[in-house]
Amino acid sequence: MAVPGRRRALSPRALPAALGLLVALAIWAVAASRWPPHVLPGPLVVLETIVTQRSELVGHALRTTRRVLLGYGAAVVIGLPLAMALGARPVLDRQVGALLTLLRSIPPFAWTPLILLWVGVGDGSAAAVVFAGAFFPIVRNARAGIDAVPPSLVLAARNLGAGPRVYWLDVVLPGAAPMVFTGLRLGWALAWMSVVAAELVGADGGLGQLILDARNLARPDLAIAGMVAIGALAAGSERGFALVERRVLRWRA
Amino acid sequence: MSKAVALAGVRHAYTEAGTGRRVEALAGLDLNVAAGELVAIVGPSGCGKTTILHLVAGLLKPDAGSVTCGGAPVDGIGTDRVLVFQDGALFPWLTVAENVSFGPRARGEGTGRTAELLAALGLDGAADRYPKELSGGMRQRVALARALAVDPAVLLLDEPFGALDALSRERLQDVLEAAWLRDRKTMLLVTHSVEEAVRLADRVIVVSPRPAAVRADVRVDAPRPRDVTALGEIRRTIAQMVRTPE
Repeated sequence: MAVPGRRRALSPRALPAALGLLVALAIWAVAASRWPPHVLPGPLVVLETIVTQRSELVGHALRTTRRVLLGYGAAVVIGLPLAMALGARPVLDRQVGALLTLLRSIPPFAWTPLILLWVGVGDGSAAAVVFAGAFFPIVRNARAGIDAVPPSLVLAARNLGAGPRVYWLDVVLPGAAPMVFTGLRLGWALAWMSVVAAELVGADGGLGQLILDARNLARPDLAIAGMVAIGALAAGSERGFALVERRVLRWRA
Repeated sequence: MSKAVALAGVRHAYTEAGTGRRVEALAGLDLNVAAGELVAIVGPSGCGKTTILHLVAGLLKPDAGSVTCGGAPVDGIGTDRVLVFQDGALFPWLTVAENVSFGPRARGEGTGRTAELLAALGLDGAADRYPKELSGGMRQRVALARALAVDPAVLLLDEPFGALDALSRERLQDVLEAAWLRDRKTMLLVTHSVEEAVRLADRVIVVSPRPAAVRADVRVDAPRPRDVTALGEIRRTIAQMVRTPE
C-alpha cells in the first residue's frame, strides 16, 4: 500500500499548491504597495513582525491551544460515550435527541455572553465556548455512525457469540469509526473558530485577544500575524488528523 | 438417525412493507434434517426458502408449529446454528485471520481452530489481508471458515455462492463439500441453482411458491465427488418441478 515517508509529502501535487500560495502572496504584495502600511501591510512587513514578536506570538498561541485542547477534550470525553448511550437506548435517544437538535442549531458564539457571565473571563470560559462548538458535531456524527453499521454485521456478530462488550468495542466502534472521525474533524475545525470568537469577546491573552489588541493599537501587521498563526495551527493539526485517520481506517483502502 | 433440525407444521406470515398486507410465507411446513446430513432447499425466488433458514437461525419465530434443533426448541440466535450470508457479511475492519477467529475470541477461547481452517479453506496466504482486498470467492471462503470456527451443530447457508461467477462458484462448491466430508456437519443450503443442489446435497427439498410447502423430497445417492453431467435426469426432474406451478 502507501509508501511510508516524507518524500511523498513533496509529491507532484505539492507543486501546484505551492504555486497557488505564491500567486496569492504576490497579489497581496501588489495590493499592499498601493495602500499605506497602517491600512494594509505587505507580506514582508508581516513576516518581520512575526520574527520580532515571535515570543509574544508563541505565548498567545500556547494559551489558545490550551483552551482548544481543554474544551475539545471535554467534548470528546463526554460526547462519544453519550453517542454510544443514545445508540444503545432508543428511549433515551428519543428523550435527548430533540433537545440536542434544538441546542446544536444555536451557533457556539451565541453562548459566549452567557458563559462569560457564568464563568468569568479566563481559560475556563474560552474552553466552554470551544466545548459548545465541538460537542454537537461530535455527538451527532458518532450517533449517525452507530446507525450506519450494516445490520448484517450486527447479526453476524451476535450469531458468532459476541456479548455486549465485544459487540460494542469490536463491532459498533470500528463500524462507526469513519463517521466518528468526520465528527471529530468537524468538531476540531469548529473548536478553533469558537476559541477565537471567545477570545475576541473577552479573554486574558490568546491569539484572538492579540488580534483585538492589534486593532486597538492600530497595528494591522500584528493582527495579520495573529491570523496567520491561527491558520497555521488549525490547518497543521488538521493534517495530523488526516494522518491518524488514514492509519486507523486503513481497512477502507 | 437423530434429528438435527425439525420443523413441524410451521406457519409464518409477515406484513409486507409498503402495502401493509399480510403475506403467508409458510403454511404448515414440515422438514426433518438428520445429524450430519447436507440438505439443499430449492424453489422459485421469493418462495420463502430464506424464511425457513431464518426460522432455524432464530431470527424469526413461527406463528404456529415448532422449530427444534437437536431436540430443543429454537429460541433466538445461537452459536449452535450459524448463518452464512450471500455477501459474506465479513467485518471489513478485521483481517482474514481476525474475521475467522472472531467467534472463538468473542467467547474468550483464543483463536481456536483458526490456523487449521485457514489452511483447509485455502486462505493461509491471505491471513493478513482485509476483506476489501479479496475477490468474491475468497470472501466467501472466509465467511465459511468464520462460521465453522465456532463449531456449530448446524450450518445455515443462504445462497452462499449466489453472487459468484461460474468458475469461483464451482471451486467454492468443492471447498464446501470438502469441509462437509471432513467434519460431517449438518448443513442446510438454500440455493436457486438446481445444479448446485444436486451436486452437493444428500437430499434436495423442492418447495412450492408462497406459501411454501414441501413439494418433493429427492434423495441423491450418487457417490462423491459428483459429476453433474451424469445426474442429468434427476436435475431435469427437479428443475421441472421448480419451474412449473402446481
